[in-house]
Amino acid sequence: MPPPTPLSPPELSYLFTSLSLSPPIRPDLRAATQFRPIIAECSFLPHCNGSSRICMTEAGECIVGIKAEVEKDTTSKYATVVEREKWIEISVEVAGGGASGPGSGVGVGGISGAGGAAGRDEGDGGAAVWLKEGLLAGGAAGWSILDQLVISKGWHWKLYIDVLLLTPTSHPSPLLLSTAVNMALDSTYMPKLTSPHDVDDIPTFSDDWAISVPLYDPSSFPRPPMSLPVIAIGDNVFLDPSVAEVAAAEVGLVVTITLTDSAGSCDIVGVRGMEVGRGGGKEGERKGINRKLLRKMVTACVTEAGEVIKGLGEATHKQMFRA
Amino acid sequence: MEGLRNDGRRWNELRRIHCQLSTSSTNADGSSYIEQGFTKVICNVTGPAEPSNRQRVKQDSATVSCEVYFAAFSGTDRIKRGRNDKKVQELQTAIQKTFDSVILTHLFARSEISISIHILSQDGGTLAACINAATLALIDAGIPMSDYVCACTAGQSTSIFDQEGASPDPWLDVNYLEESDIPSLTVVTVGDSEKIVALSMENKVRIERLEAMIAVGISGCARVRGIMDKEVRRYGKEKLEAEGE
Repeated sequence: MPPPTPLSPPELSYLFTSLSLSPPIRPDLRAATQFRPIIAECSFLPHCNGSSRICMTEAGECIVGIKAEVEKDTTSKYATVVEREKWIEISVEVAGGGASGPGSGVGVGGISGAGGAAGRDEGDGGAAVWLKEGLLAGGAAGWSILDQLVISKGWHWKLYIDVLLLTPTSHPSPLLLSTAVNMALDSTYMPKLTSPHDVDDIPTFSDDWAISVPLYDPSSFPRPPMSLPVIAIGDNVFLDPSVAEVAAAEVGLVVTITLTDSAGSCDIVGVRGMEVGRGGGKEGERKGINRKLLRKMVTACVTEAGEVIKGLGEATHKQMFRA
Repeated sequence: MEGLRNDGRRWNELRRIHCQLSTSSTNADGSSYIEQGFTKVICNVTGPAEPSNRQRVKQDSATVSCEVYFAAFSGTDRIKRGRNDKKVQELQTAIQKTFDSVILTHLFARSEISISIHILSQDGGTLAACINAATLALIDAGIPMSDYVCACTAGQSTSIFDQEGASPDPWLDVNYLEESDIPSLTVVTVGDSEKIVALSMENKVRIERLEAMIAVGISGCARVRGIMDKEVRRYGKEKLEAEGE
């Protein structure tokens, strides 16, 4: 099911036509690759290792808290990969505010192939699944977040990432969730280990937060991943689509990328299909996507979004306590 | 005898209260954010609107409903509280009953006012912070109430002076450490009228101490009212000025 819109068929058709023009005209007069403004705060929860709050005009508000707990390494010799992936636990909670009730089963951003696994009554449409996927994939050249979670021999951090969506009725975009998780991860600090690395006794930590260790070192790469929705209508590609634009789109993708250098270049770590509306055609008359367009969409994300992610990262560091 | 508490406050000092109105960009009719020390709470209010379910319709007044969510990361340890958790239910009932009696519900027959509260960080006085946040959000939503509903906690220190006959002062606005250590209560008043609309206490305390604790709690409520009133006026003025331009 594509996200519901209040638009009527003639309105959709009008929107479709104006978006397929060359150059296209978006309803809010943005350029095709322009993002909408956001409000972003981080590191404001005292009980969390990292936290963030993101507000977007249409998608609403989202709060993420990251907590790390010390856990004994139970990884067996053979099932390492699967067991290591349990070191990170993501849960997405959708607030069932008042009249609307808990999520009506519409997945977050309608991302396909990740549905339902995380529990019916949370209505997150498996957002936790694709968020985690991006996080685990997030790194080129053998770099993995899981390696950062190793404390010492036999001990590791267990990372709990709790996403709280405060918008029960509006349409939460994957951009909202991933931006919030990205910022929270970027502001996550762990206490510094004071016991030796190679001993398997219970590790001890310094209680001085001024010398705590960042999960993602701000000066190194890759940075935390970010998932961007992108849609195409005709040959036009649009970043950060609004709900109405998604409803009028022909194809939609969620591209997960991560920053790989200070100049703003990015690596792709994941691409998923995103459910969109009927794109000007009749119901059930899906045109499919050709390779050239697919490439164009992914390229648009990689070339245009680097700067946005970089900007978000800079904003995060400016707000951090050690500024 | 006067000493300092573990966070450096005197017995009659509140923690820093920071409040904000209209914090949410979402479709809620009113929203607020309050920090009382490290206790941080967000509140959204929707309504008066058509009730979400028929059973909630009252023919002569509005229904007040309340939902409280503890964020899993709100405490020192990560605890996920479900919707049927006892503590959550208790908070919901307390808040709902309090506001049901203070909101002028007879003005909105057959409608529902829903309060949804998110607790982001807990450091003592959770119920008090929830009620203060709900008051601000209800004001933001423009829902008529007889006055501010203000809540504050007070605890009774069990110090050594107890045995010597000198009565130790009750502590105003206890934090998490104090709350887990000494008996404390939450007082909710309407405005600064000293009229109590809710009182909650979960520990044992000597009966002769109770009076003093309530008195200190009430004086705390009056101060909380002042702080909230100041913020509401500031926000209102700012809003009017913005509209005037």
